[in-house]
Amino acid sequence: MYPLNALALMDAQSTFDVKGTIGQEQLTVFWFTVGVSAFLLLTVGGVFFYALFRFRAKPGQDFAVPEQTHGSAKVEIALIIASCLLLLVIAVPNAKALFVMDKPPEDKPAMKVIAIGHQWWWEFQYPDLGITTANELHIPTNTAVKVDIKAVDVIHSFWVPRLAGKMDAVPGQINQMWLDAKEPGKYNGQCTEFCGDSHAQMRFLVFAHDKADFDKWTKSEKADAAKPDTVAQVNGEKVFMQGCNSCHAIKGTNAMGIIGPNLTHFGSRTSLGAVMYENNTDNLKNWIKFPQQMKPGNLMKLEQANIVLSDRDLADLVAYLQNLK
Amino acid sequence: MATSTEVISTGGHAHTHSDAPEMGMLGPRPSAKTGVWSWLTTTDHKRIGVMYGISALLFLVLGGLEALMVRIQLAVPNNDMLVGDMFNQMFTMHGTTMIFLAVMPLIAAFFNFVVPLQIGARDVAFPRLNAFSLWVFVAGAVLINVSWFAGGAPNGAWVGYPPITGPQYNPGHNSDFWVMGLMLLGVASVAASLNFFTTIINMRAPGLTLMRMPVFVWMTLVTNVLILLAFPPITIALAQLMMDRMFGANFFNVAKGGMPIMWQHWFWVFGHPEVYILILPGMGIVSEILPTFSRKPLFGYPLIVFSGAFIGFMGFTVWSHHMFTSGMGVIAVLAFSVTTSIIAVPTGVKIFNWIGTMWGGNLRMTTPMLYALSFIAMFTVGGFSGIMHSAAAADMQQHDTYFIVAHFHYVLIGGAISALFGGIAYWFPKITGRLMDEKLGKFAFWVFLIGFNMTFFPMHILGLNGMPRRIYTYHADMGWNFWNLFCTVGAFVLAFGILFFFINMVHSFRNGEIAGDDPWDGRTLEWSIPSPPPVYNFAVIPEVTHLDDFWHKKQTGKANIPWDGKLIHMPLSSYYPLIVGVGMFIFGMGMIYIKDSVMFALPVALGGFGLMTFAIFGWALEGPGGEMLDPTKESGAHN
Repeated sequence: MYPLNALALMDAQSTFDVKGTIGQEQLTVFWFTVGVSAFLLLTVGGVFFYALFRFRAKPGQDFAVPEQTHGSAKVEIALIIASCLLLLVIAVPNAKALFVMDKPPEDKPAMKVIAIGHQWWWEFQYPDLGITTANELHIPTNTAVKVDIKAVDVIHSFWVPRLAGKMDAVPGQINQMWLDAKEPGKYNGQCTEFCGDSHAQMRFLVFAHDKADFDKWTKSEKADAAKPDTVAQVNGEKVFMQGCNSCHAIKGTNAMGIIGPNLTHFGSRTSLGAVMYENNTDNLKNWIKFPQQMKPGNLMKLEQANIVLSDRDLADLVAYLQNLK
Repeated sequence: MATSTEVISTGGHAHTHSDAPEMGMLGPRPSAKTGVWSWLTTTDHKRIGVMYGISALLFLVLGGLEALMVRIQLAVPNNDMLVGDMFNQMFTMHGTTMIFLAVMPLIAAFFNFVVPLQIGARDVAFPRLNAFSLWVFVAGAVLINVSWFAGGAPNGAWVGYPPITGPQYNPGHNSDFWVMGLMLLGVASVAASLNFFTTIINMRAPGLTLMRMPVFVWMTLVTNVLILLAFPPITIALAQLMMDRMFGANFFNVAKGGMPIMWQHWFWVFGHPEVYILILPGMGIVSEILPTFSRKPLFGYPLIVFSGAFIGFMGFTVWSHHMFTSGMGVIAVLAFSVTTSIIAVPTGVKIFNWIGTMWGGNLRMTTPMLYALSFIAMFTVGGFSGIMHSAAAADMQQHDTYFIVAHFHYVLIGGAISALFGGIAYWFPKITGRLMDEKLGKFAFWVFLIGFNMTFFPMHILGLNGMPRRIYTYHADMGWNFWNLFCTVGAFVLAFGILFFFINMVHSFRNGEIAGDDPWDGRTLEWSIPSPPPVYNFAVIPEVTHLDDFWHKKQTGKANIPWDGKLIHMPLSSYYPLIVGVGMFIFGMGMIYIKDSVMFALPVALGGFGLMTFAIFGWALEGPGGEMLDPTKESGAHN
């Protein structure tokens, strides 16, 4: 894979470095199209450049009149038949891949996830497990993850290039796809349908775990949120319940807002603002204090909600949130 | 043929002539032959063509500057020059401007200037309707761009998918300008398409049967049928979006049961044929340039014609390939995947035949020829990426990434713009009477070609490496840094290539070598008349007996046709098309603000509507009119 590396084709959202069944099928079809194109490039391109150099006017012969030929039915028919045959070379693997994408094999273990696009973050629900999280999707390896894709506001698109091609999230309809990961790891995802101001910042991560790790994750996610331990955290929870709770939910508390991401296990997430920033103390402080500067246009508009935090309350709120492992 | 006492009709209706000035509701008809008013009221297809061309090139500059802004923002990761909404306005207006305000009117310029000359006509079928199309286009184009100074330009991408363009998520006037502007542009396009369809069907010189028409005329005919059939769906979609935005309707409002996906079907039933509207005229131009500079007839003329028509027809069967990821289900995806791949066949046929035209020829590498050759090469590369995403499974990865951006710029710049620049260089001597400078022309061409490939080839890589379209920035650790910077540098090289082309146009217009009637030893009728052509084009309407008739006449020594002594009937100028355009502009402005203040906006809208209605009546009542010209007394050039 060295040439692909050198061209910068093997990075976090590469469609070549694929680790999912569907992504691999799609890559296979892509290679077929490349093969056909390369063949045409060599043949048609070769004839084109040959003609270009072979039939150039000789110096001083600009206005010489060559033989006035009009075409050849035999050549035309042969080329049309050849073109149709070349298309078949692509059509067959393409059809096969489309049917693979349509349904996972029946004997493959399966689980269900609902992915919901919001301006500009992803909500992930596990209806069979009772888990709701945001921007970081955890899945078990070698399992067909059936994803129901929805949107609450405008159209988004769910895409994890190294696992599978994309599917749009259209308000008012439920689109379905499935994907799997053959190896544990972190896979980058990104919204690919233009969805407004911060479309560029609507990213997400998929973590694929082997069975044991996934069960461990499930167990901790199912639990209620951690109770505050320290004085600062207790005060932080109080501050949270005076405003943040109207948009955010934390399981096991009175916070049940559904506008923003569910924060029950916020402290266990690696990133902030839909994978815009690393989840650390400084970024979290800035996020809470200047949400519009941190991510233009997002719905966290503290001025409108008349929320003004003292430095102490801000620090306590951060402490509380970071404790929600 | 007509006897010497008959009037030769040139469009509109033959009209008995009297010396008294023609009277309309505004008094005498405009009579200026020079100066600003002669241009504003002209019905001469050549002048209208020139005005289309100049406006289109101005908008090409504007759209190009918008593209450079986009490229500067994306040159480095986490750049903050154009964040969020400002970036969205910039790329939305880049796309909208390039498609509707630059390439389409540039194509219309060629329809106007070249088609009547190639079919041996003295004007189009409806000269005043032709002026109307121009002014309504200008009205729509200006209206959309007024938004920059009125709170923000359209920001919902050139495809305008609701709900992002609906009133709930786009409460400003940005999308109102877009909706009203595009509606006006649609009116202009449909009027022009009726005009050119009628002109080509009805006004060909005697003997110029359909299968003797130059391929550019054929592609114009096909393109105008596409415009006529494709603009109604987009107009319906725009009307629905307008009702949602201005009158609280619920066509796309999900909360009230609206269906956003419906827009996508409407849009692409228009949008895919639109792509062919942009490329087929370019194919026509290339099919004129290649035979002239290969000094051979087009190889497989009937197949080139039929494959052009077939591409046009298939354009209506593939719209959902823009929606492979919208959740249509596997069978629909497969069906549209197959119809899409079929288009590769007639497209391939054209490419084979162009190469066949070169084969055995005597190729002269003039500037127009270089652009035509680059069309073939670059369009073929765009065709390869087209084959790649006609395979729906592969497209699921490529859709809405920079791979698609690369693809359609290969088709639209490497294809359409190459052909159109080649066409400018080819017909410049006919339009101005002077040749474009070959040295500067070739230099500009190579800068253009190198800059273009530097800008857009790496976008294939960016797309396959996972970079989505329409993002205003990207993180430094995605592996996209190098190629983005490279693309930005390339964009400036490309911009210089286009700048040099413009400099050449201006320079050659002033100082170019005098061209004469037929500088290229051309094959078609436009080369049989003076450069620039006289206002009536042909002193005598030629009788056509062959494909490439002028070439045939030259070869057999019959090229010179003396004047037959008949006076020439030409249409009069008119104020009304311009006034209709102004009225529609005012009406559009009023409609945009109708929700803010009915008190203020409604009278404006009604005033504009009234002016438009008045001018349409004036137009109808003044009649087509006409004057008789004596070619021996006309000075010739009208430009």
